[in-house]
Amino acid sequence: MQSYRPHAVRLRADWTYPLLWLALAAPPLRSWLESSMALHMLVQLPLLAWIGYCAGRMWTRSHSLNQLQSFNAGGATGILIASFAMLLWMLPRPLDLARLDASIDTLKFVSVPMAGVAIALSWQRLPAIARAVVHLEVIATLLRFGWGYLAAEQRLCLSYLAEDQRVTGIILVVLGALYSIAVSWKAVFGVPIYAFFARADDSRAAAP
Amino acid sequence: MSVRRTAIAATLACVAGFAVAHSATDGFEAFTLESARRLHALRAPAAVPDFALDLADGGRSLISQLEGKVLLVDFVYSNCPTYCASLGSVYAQLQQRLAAEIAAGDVRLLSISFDPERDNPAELRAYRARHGKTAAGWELGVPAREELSKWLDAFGVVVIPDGLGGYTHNAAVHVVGPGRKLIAIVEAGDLDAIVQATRSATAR
Repeated sequence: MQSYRPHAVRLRADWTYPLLWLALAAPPLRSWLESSMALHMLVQLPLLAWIGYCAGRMWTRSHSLNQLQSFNAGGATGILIASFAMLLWMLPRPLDLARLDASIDTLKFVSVPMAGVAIALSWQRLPAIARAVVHLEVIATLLRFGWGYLAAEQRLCLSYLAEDQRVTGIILVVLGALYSIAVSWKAVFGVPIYAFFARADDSRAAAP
Repeated sequence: MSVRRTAIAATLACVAGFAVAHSATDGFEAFTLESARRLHALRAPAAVPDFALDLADGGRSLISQLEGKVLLVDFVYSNCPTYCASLGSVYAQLQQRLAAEIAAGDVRLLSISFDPERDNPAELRAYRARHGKTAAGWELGVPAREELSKWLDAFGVVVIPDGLGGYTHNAAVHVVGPGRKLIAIVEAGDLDAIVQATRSATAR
């Protein structure tokens, strides 16, 4: 049975990824994205991870990875590394330090794309149960951090205002809710959620 | 073969991840920058550089030239409608509770303005008069404009615009002991803790 798979959003040419990374690292875009907690955590970090992910996908097509991937059976190592990296950068203190200290910011610009590469190398290798665990952990993390930022009585980040923190908390909780709907759609309805968006005349759409 | 390699690599990744998390949070105790700076002041007090400031009561002084074994430093700006007003009343209460130590010359209260553009000595004296009945033991000062960021860095104070024309900052009372060492940073509202920290510092 043919199944509909969405094409992951990719840029046209390979050289556009380093260019996008440089654009994000350059002062104007970097200080704008880091000026607000919501933009910093929910736009800049995911973009950096996505750049790393796409670079990782290109790398997997090149078949030179067998030695490296022997340390990554079932995708375990890569997912663990990526989880630690993403979790640490969502904490208030690293977020603050990235804004206040240029060397920490550089560390962020290197480590977050590398986490994206690790995900790209590992996701295909994860068995279904492990994927489900990852999905659950992502939902739990989004909701935990969201609730933590919402319910905190004081400002947790010195570089951001209390209102910023509240908005970020709300968006995190909303993202957690949306994510849980997206992953449970298939379990409940039998078709993946992106089939919902397939065009009616698309011959690759899954049969209901 | 690759299962064993992966098990080793994954274990190493976990250990490394925990080590990084441990060092990034001071042993899982400081998840925010504010709690980190308060922890560092307690565990590894560093000396504040001997900055110069213009006193509201007149004259220029270095920190080391100020009287008193222990300085209680806070950062305010006189047009502040929120934190600085409460800091002002805290300092007025400290004037009373530490009256004996102030009279003995052991303790001085020092309010530093981080808005040198708008705060001149008269404004600062008016700020003090709004909260305290006397000027006993409570001095105010303005740093030189080009030194302001060094003051803020040395004390770990981060000032950001609050979008309403004013500023927001991590207001707290900084206890500076002998040798200009920043030995404690205490929550501004916690008078008992401030008094206790001050008394133990003067006893050293």
